[in-house]
Amino acid sequence: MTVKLSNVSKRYGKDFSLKNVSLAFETGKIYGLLGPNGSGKSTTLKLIAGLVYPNGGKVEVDNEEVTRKICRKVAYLTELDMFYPSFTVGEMVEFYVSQFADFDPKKAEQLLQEMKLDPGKKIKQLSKGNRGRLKLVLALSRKSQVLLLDEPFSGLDPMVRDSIVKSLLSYINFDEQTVIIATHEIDEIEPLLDEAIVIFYGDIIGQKNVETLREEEGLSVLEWFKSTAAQMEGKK
Amino acid sequence: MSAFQGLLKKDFGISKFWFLLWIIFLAVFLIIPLAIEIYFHMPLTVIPVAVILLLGFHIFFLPAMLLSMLRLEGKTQLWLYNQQSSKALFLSKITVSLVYQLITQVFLTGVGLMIYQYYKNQIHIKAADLFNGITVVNAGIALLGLYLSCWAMFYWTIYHSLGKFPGVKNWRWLVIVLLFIAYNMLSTFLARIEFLKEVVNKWNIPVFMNANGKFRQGGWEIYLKAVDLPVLEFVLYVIVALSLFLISCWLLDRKVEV
Repeated sequence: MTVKLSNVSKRYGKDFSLKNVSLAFETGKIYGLLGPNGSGKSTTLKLIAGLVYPNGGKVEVDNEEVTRKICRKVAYLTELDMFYPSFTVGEMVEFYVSQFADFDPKKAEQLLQEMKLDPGKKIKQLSKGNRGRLKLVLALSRKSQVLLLDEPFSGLDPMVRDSIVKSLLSYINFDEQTVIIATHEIDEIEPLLDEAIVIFYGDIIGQKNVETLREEEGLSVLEWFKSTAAQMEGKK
Repeated sequence: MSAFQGLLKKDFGISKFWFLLWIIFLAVFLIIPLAIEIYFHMPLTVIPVAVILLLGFHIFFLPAMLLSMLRLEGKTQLWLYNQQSSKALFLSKITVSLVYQLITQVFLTGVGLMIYQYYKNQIHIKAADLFNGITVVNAGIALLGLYLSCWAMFYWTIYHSLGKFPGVKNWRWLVIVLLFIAYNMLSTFLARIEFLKEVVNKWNIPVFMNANGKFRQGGWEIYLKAVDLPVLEFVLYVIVALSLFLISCWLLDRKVEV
């Protein structure tokens, strides 16, 4: 399973969210899509999930051009609230079971227990942290080939972030899944990453293997990101 | 549970509050005229009018319920993160709205029949006419509701498709108004052409829906007369509704973005 973006551009009116971007994501790797707010990270994930369409270029998942239907292969955790507030946690899981053939209810049950989420509780009564946990339960319970996580730590306290990182390590299928995490909070995901990609206002300005970066250049992902972004700021 | 059943369950879940609110509104709108009738000792004056008005208003109930569900989904558009076809996504909402509509139509028809039962001595109508009248009126209201729902769906998808163009985003409603005016002008123009009028009215089927009443011997005598319903016009409405539905599905699949 490969996710491929070939010369992809996405415009919103006159503003470019992505400019002629080409990227390839391989199976069995965890990618970090890093960049400041508004740099095009979320748009990249939405393009892969088939929720927005490119103005130019092609987005493919497993050699299939992406449309809305690609969500059968792609699990997507959005930064937005994706729930129906009147539903209970259990009803939301039940809805996902009915919609996605690859959704594993046993895994969901296990995750709910681990994350201490009560299936009978109404979603509108959940705290922001617990809503974040529920989003993760819904995304991780799918046996999808591609897992997209958009700002999984947004607005969450350090305790919750920690538990999310642990869940990711426990529940990602490292042999079969391609995982792409878009975030500007690099510290938390650094231990997870195989590859780091810096996106800067629509342009890809760097891509590094995290191990190589540490061993050969002696830099952490955060340090490399900061220096790369600073260079770009200097050029601007 | 199949995927479509899952969609239905979800749509019932997100809309039940508005349905309950509508039921409460119906109850209030029936209790007030009843109270007026009792207070002023004027039986069978206001409540039949209220029942007829409420039943007639149901042509807007289905599109209104559909739009209330779409409004909720439109806040994030994340309902599009779903592998079911756009037809299934829309059909689920239409089915749920139609079920609600049929329940309230049956309820109001029941209220109407209770009134009839109570004042049977003052209203004389053949049982067959009564049955035909109820069937035709209810079927007509449901079909008209479905037709208007297709328009509501079409305008909603156009509105949200335009959302991705920042230049038009603030003026989307104007595009909808212009589309509405343009369609109505075109259909009025076409309806005035004699040749088209002749073709449309060539084949008719009689439908018992024209009520006539006479006050005789202390009571109302009501009978139904057949009205000619142009078959081609009906077919045209069906084609328009289907086209609007398919265009809406196409737009939802390709133009509406999250």
